[in-house]
Amino acid sequence: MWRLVASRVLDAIPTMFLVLTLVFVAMRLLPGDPAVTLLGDHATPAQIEAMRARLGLDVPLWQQYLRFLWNALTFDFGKSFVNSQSVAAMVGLNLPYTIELTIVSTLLGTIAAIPLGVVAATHRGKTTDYVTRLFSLAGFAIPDFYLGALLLITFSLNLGWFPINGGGQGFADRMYHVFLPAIALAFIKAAFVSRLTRSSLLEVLNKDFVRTARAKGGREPRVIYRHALRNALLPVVTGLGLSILSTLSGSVAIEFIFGRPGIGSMLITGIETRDYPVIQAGIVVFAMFVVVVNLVMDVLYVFIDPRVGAVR
Amino acid sequence: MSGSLLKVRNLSVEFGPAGKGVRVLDRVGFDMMAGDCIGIVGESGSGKSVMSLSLLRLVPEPPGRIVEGSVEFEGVDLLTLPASRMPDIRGKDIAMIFQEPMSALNPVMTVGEQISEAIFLHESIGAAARRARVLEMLQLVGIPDAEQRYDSYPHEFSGGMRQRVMIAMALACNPRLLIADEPTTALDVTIQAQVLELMKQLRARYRTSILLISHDLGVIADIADRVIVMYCGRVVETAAIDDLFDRPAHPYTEGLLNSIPSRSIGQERLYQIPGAPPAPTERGPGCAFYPRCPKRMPVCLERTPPLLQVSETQQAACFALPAARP
Repeated sequence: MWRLVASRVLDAIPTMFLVLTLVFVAMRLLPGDPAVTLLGDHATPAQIEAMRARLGLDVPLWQQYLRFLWNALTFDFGKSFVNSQSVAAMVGLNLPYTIELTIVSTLLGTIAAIPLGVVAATHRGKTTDYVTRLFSLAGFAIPDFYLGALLLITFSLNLGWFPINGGGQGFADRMYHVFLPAIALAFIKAAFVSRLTRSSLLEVLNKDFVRTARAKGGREPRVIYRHALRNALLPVVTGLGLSILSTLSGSVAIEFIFGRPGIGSMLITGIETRDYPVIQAGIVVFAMFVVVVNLVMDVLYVFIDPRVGAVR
Repeated sequence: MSGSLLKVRNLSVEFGPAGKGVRVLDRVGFDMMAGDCIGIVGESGSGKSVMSLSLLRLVPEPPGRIVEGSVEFEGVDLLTLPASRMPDIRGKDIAMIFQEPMSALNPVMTVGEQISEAIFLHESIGAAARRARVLEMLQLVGIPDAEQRYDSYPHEFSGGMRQRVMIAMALACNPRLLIADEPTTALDVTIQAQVLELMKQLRARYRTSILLISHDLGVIADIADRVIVMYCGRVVETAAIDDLFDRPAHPYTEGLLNSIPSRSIGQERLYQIPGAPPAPTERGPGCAFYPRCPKRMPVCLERTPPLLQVSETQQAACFALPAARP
C-alpha cells in the first residue's frame, strides 16, 4: 500500500513541472514589456534597461526559465513591485486563510451532503427525495459570489450577526470569520456531492452483498451506513476532489467579497497593481493546490477500496 | 429430529404496480420437517429464487410484493411478524447462501469482519471469543491458514473459497434452516463437488435443515431427500428423491429427467422439452405447461390442476394423472 502511495507522489512530480512551465510561458506571452508597463510610457531607455535587469529579463530565455524553476522549487518568488515585501512571506501570510476556507467549506458541504444523499436514496421517489432535489437545484443555480454577497448583506450588514470583513485572530475568532464565506462555498458543494451520493448509493443498494448483509440479520441503518455507503463513497470522493478544486476558483471571488485575506485576494490585488511576482506566485500556489488535492484523493482511494491497492 | 420446521401455504408474490402486478409465485405450499433436506428444482424464471427470498421477506419492495400466504417457521408466521423482528430471525434461525460468491461478499470488508459481524448481530460475546469462533468456522469450511486469511479481502479469494466463506458466515450462528440458492452454479465442476461435499458434512454434523435451490437435478439428487419441482411460479410435483427419478408423475418432471445427458448408446441427440416457458404476463387460467405438454387435454386450458396425491410421498399437479380421473 505504501509503495502505491509513494508511486502516486512520484507521479505528481512531472505534473508540477509541466504546470510551472505553463505558468512561465503564460507570463512571457503577456503582451508588452513588463518593464515598460511598470514604469509607464515616459520612462527613459536607461530606466527601462535598469528595470529589465532588476526583473531578470536581460538574460536569455532559457536562463530565465531555469532561474524561474529554481526559484519556484526554493519558494523564492522575489519581492513585490508595490511594497517590496517578500512574495514568499506574502504567500505564507495568505495561504493559511485560503486553506482554512477550503477545509471548512468542504467539511460543512460534506457533512450536509452525505446524509442528504442517503436520505434521498432511501426515500427515492418520495417527498423527501424531491425536497433534496430542489435544494440541489438551488445550489447549482445560485452562483457562489451572489450567495456570498446575499449572506453578507443579510447576516453581517443587516442583522450584524457576523463580521463584515477580515480573517480574525485566534481559532474561535477565525472560525467566526470563516463561517459565512464557507457557507457560500459549501452550498454548491453540498448540492453536487449529495446528488452524487444519492446516485452512487442507489446503485450500490442493488448489489448482492447488500442483500447478504440483510440476510445475515443486519438492520437497515447498519446495512446502509456500514455496507452500502462505504462502497458508494468511491465516486463521491472523486466528485469531492473536483468540488474542492472548484472551491479554489470560487474562493477568489468569495475572499474578495468578504474582504478576507487569502491567496485569492492576494491574486486580485496583484492583478490590479500589475504586481507580476505576486501574480506568478499566486498561480503557482493554486496549481500546487490542484496537484496536492488530486494526490490526496488518489491516496484516499487506496484506503477506502482495498482493491485499488491490490492492482500492483 | 422430527417436528414441523417450516410450513409454507399459498405463498404468492407479485412484481409491478398493485392491481396490475405480474404474479411470479402462485400459491406455493410445502412442508419441511426438522432435519430435512429439500431440493427445489426448476428452470430460470420458475420463481424458485423469489420463493427462497420471500421466505425471509427479502424480496425487494417495490417492485416485489408478497400478496398472500403464510410462512410458518416453528409455529410462527414470518409474514405477519412486524418487519422490525425479521433481522432477529435472518442469519440466526434461518441463514442464506447465494448464487454469486463473487458479488455476495462486501468488497471493502475483510472476510473475517464479515463472518464476525454475523455473530456480532445475534450473540453478545466478546471480540476475542468472536474472533476465535470465526477462525474455527474458517477451518471448518476448509480454508487453510485461517489466521492469515481472516484479514484478507474477498477479491483475494477464488470463487470456491468465497463460497466457503459464505457458508461459514451462514453457519456462524448455527441456524436451524439453511437456504442455499444455487450455491454451486457459479463454480467449476470440481469445486462444485467439494462445496456439496462440505454441505453434506456440515449437515451431518450440525443437523441443519437445508433448502437447496438449483436448476441442476444432479446437484439435488446428490444431497436432498425430497424434491419440489417448480414451473412458472407453481409447484408441479413434490416427491421423495428416488420416487421422482423412478416414477416422475408430472410431464414436466419427465421432460426434465429426459434432458439429463447420458452416455447411453443409440441416443444421439440430447432430449429437450419443446418450446419455452411462457412469460409471466402471458399465462392464462390453465396449466402453464400446456403449450409444451405431450399429454395435454382440453381441460388443461380451462383450469389449473391442483396438487394431487399420487402416492404417500408424492404429489403432482396434472389432469392426466389417474388420480385426476373422476
